[in-house]
Amino acid sequence: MEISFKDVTYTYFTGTPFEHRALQDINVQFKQGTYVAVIGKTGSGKSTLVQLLAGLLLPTRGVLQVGDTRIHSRSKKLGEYRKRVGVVFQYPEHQLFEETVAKDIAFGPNNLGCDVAEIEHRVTEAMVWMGLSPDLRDRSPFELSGGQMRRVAIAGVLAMRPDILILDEPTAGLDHLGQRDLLSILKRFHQHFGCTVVHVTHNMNEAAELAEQVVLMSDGKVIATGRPVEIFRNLPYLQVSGLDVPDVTKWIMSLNEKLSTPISTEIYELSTLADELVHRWRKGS
Amino acid sequence: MNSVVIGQYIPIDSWLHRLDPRAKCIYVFCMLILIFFANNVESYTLLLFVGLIGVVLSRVSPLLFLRSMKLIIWMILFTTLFHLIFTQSGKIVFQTPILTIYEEGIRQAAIISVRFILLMVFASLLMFTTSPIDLTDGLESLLSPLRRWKFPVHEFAMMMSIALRFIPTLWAETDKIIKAQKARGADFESGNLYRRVKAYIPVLIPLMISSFRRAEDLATAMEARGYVGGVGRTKLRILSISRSDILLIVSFAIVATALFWMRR
Amino acid sequence: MKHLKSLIELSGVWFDYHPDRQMKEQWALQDINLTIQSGEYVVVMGPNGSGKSTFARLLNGLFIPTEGEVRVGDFSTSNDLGRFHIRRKVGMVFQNPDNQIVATTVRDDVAFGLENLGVPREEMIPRIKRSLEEVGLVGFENREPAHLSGGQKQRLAIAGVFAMNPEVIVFDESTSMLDPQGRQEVRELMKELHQQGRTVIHITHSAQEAFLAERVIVIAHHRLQLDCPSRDLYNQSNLLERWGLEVPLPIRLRALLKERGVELNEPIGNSDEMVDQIWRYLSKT
Repeated sequence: MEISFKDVTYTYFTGTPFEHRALQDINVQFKQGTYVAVIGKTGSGKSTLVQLLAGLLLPTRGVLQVGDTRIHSRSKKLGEYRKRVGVVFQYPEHQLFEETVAKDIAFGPNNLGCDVAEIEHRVTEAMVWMGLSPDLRDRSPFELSGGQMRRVAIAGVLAMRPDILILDEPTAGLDHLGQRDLLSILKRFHQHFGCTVVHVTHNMNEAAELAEQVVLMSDGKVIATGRPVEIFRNLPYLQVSGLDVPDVTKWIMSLNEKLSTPISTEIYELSTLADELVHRWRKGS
Repeated sequence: MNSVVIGQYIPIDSWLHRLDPRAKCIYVFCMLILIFFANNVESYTLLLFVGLIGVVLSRVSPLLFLRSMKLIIWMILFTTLFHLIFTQSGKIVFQTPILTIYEEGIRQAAIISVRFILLMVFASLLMFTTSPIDLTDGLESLLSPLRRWKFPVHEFAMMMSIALRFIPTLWAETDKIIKAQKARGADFESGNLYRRVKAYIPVLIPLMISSFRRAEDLATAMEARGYVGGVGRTKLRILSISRSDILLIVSFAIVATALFWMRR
Repeated sequence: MKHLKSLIELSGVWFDYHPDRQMKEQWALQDINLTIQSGEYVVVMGPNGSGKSTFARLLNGLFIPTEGEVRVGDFSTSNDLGRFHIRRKVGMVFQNPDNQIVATTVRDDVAFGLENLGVPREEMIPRIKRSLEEVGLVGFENREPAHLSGGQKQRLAIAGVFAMNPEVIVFDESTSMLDPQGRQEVRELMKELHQQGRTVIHITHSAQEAFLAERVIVIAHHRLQLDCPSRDLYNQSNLLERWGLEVPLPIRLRALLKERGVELNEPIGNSDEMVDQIWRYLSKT
């Protein structure tokens, strides 16, 4: 399903003293199956953008077209639409409520109307995806560690097999290993099911490593969108938006200040950088 | 969202806003009683006039007072209707085969309506011009004599103030959890009452758990900042009676005296 | 050499929440021996669940060692009188910005600790003013906490601690729930507090933050694994991988180059020195 925002504006508390325009004239398209990273400072409108996409908010003006569904200010009955979109909110472990891990993961598939066998199958599958051992099934989710709770919560979303998967800062608060594991799971899940992923993040490294398309937001507007290289080589844009470049890029840039022939800043993988350095050294000697 | 308005406090500056919350509480409390002693056109006119002065002094838009009337409009309509139909004394004003309206009925309906309106005006004056935290402080101070009978006044006030502090936080949290469960296909809008109430379980449980976690965190943070209860504590917020507060009480005395003189 | 005196001393500290139910090898903290000098800036690093937060709470008597002793100055956390004094010496800023603000306005919240200490009102007012200046929240006195950003909330928490004028400030993962901007604000404040001569102890799982301090302590698997100047750690930071911690980018790059037959062996203490080294290496050829 192709996603397309057409002149979408969103205003909170319209007509009250607290009126606040969170999004203004958003025009942006995501192709089916793309891994999209949405970057921007807190308050830039990223969260509002994905809540619109999730069908949790309606545009104040403009239209959001997702496949055959048109979402506008008077849209009704988005229940069916929402079932095709999975959302992993920030700190998703805060939404757990069931007595057991398996029951909690089953909540989504159950709401989709899956039969018992299908639910069973999806719960098992989601637990495998998230690296949760089968003997956790009947444990209470509240006895688990913070990292495991997060995995259970995400499993609950993956079990819905969404066409569009929205991730709002999925790695927030995790330690290094936890972050790395989760990102690699999400990447594989995306590749396996070919779903469109919209990943909101403050972390430029995540955006650079994972995304095929980056959307840069600032002050309720989309400032730029394109492949990671197109966004991250545009340093002034990033700085105006209060953002930084990925660590690798930053490092290459400080090396480039000393080199006569600069190293490409399109490199985001450290191993590629190492290859490039070795290549240069061999060429030189 | 963060912009949840706590109570009905309108954060502007006015003579009424600056008054001591204790003086305002006592004033409004006494005024609410006084309203029931008024029994004729003159005394109600007087009270309405006092209320009007209050509205002007508060510098709060009269529209907001009208809006607060919305809360009691049905009560007013209902009691008005009740008195019009069932009070049967005095001259007949209006007669149809099914309904007879007497003079006394109209009088009673008017009195009750005006009483409701006055109650709401004075209560709104207090709520609009006193921040919840000032109200808490005022209550703590007014209740402090109860300490002699072991009533935990400090703890009560601390509890109220923490509740006020966390209302916006919990509101935002509720909003987030509702959205999260909606995104997992939860349906809060259809089905009978039982089904709808049941649909909120996935919201209430996480909310309860997070509140417990917050309470625990907060208790730890308070302990780390040296909190050991009310004993030996000093206070930043002090309440002090000013000339304005005395003026308020004196004005009440004048109104009360006038009202009893007008009573027949 | 600065004149330092030993301020915090942990000797033979073992701790568990349910010591009677657990084998001693599974206790939350095991055999910690450590001295922290007055005026030091120490980072305590460890993966999630390693026991580092428990460690933080031992420092001001929120937890009391099951075995062994924690002393701060002349007092021990093991008795009521000692804890009473230690709470005044050791301030603590916690992880969740929302859950440590008690009062309904910024000013009242800074006052909270002072009220608990029984500071007279006349003295409170200038101390509150001074604290808000310190953290840059002047002009926010009457704001409600709900209307502050994450970084501002954490700065408010710091102001509340600062007002009580403690010798030591412990930051218990105080940056982990913030966006990059908030994180930066808090890091800068830590540095400043340290420069004023306060002892700063920062608990974190971020390796980046570790290198901001002078001394790094690694707690993993419930034990103290490493305690060295941060500069010395840099070269051996491949060790961090073993405990599931992030290795700084230049060190990872150096390891990758070594795999490719390029050995750079000069010790480096930070990222810039690595840039220099590579540059020299490339220009030599």
